[in-house]
Amino acid sequence: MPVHKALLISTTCQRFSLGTFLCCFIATKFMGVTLPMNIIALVTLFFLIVGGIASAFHLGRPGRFFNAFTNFGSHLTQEAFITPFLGIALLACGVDGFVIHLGAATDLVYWISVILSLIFLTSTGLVYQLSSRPAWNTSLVLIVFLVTAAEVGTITTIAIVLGLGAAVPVGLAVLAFLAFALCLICQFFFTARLKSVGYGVDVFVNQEPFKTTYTLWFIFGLAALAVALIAAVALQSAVAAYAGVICAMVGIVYWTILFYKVALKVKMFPMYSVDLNLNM
Amino acid sequence: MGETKKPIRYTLLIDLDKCTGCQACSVACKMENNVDLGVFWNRVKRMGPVGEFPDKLEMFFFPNQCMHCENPTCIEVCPTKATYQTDTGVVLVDADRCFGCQYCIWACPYEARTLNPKTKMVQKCTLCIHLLEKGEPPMCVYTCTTHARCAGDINDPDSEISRVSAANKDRQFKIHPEFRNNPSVIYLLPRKGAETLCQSIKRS
Repeated sequence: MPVHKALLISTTCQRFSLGTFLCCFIATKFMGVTLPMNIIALVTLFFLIVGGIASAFHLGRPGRFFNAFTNFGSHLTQEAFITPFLGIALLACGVDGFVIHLGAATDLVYWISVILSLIFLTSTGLVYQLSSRPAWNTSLVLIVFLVTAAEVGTITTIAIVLGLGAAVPVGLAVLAFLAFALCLICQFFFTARLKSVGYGVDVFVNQEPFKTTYTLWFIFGLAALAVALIAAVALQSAVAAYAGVICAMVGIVYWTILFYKVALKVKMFPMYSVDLNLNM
Repeated sequence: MGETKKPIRYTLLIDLDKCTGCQACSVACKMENNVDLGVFWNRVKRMGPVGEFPDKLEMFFFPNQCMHCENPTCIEVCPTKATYQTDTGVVLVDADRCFGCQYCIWACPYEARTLNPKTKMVQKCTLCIHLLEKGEPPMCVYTCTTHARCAGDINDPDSEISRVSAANKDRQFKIHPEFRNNPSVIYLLPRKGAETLCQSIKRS
């Protein structure tokens, strides 16, 4: 499958922004960290809008966008339907303390934002879980989508904490390492599975045309991110954490490029090595 | 008590034993439906040659178009409901609703759909429903030089497609039924030159 650049931007923005919002919420709610959640909500909303605009460029006829709210059985409709509610909830969190004061409703609005964020990420992840593409015909598609959001979210939360001059709580560091490890395990399982998906479209990521992308993911999404994460936590270094955020983002980009590349179409008759499409 | 008449179910039957890969069907489809350059509603693929001449050589042609599935994934995923199924079982795309998200292209296992680069909308075979409803065959069927194709109401026992289908029960197969879309297009296996395929679907 060709790499859909608009969707690459939008899904990266979604995972970065919502992953960060969710992890920051967990850190403030359960780990005793004080973070400017209203600003984080606004930044999340900004990246969500950037992602939304990017995904509109993917549409052949963006002027017909409102037709998307028609088929509630489709994960794309579900994603489109959640978007305005999530946007309003994030905006409410964002303007809390500036324009309005949510007061006693603060917790409720944040929890609504968290739930909507999770539903949104799940709907988007499920869009790609398709049986027609052997590489995507696995629940690992959704799992990897969610854990990459958790991975970039935790390292960004660490970066924000360190940037504000606070110490990274042990719970947050553990969460970051867990997300990183889980992400790697799922990604390795995903790539290992590609070797035997059948239908004549088995993929070996250590061979071209996948090797370069896979190698770049390995460098940024694994090796460099691991070093940055360890350095950020061990040295309480904000610079290392910022580098970690960049590595995680670049890692997601290369992973997503690989993800598109490996989604090859089923061969009608995989038992025939010669399969000529006589397009005229 | 009288037998209740089954609803009309239009579909296509293609005898791979007869297809010579002449591409007349692809050309006729383009002419009839004004299909733009770079867009294909109907393709003919060549499988093989593999194996050794004379006894183990395998090669056949495979015309590929929308399978007009009974449970189409393209309808399930389409966020705009632009893709729909008629009462006669034909899967169509409403050009006034499609916004070109291409989700149906991803979801279709049969490579039946193309994004038209000019209109920015997804297009596919309509089974020439405008002709079928007038009692005429789709243009690919009309043009087929070897009479490899026939189309019509598979629920009508007197239709040509039902008769050809019944006469060739042993060679019938549907492509990748494991996707659970239940494709309605019926293929007839080649009598020779597709032994590996026959073995894989357990036919001698």
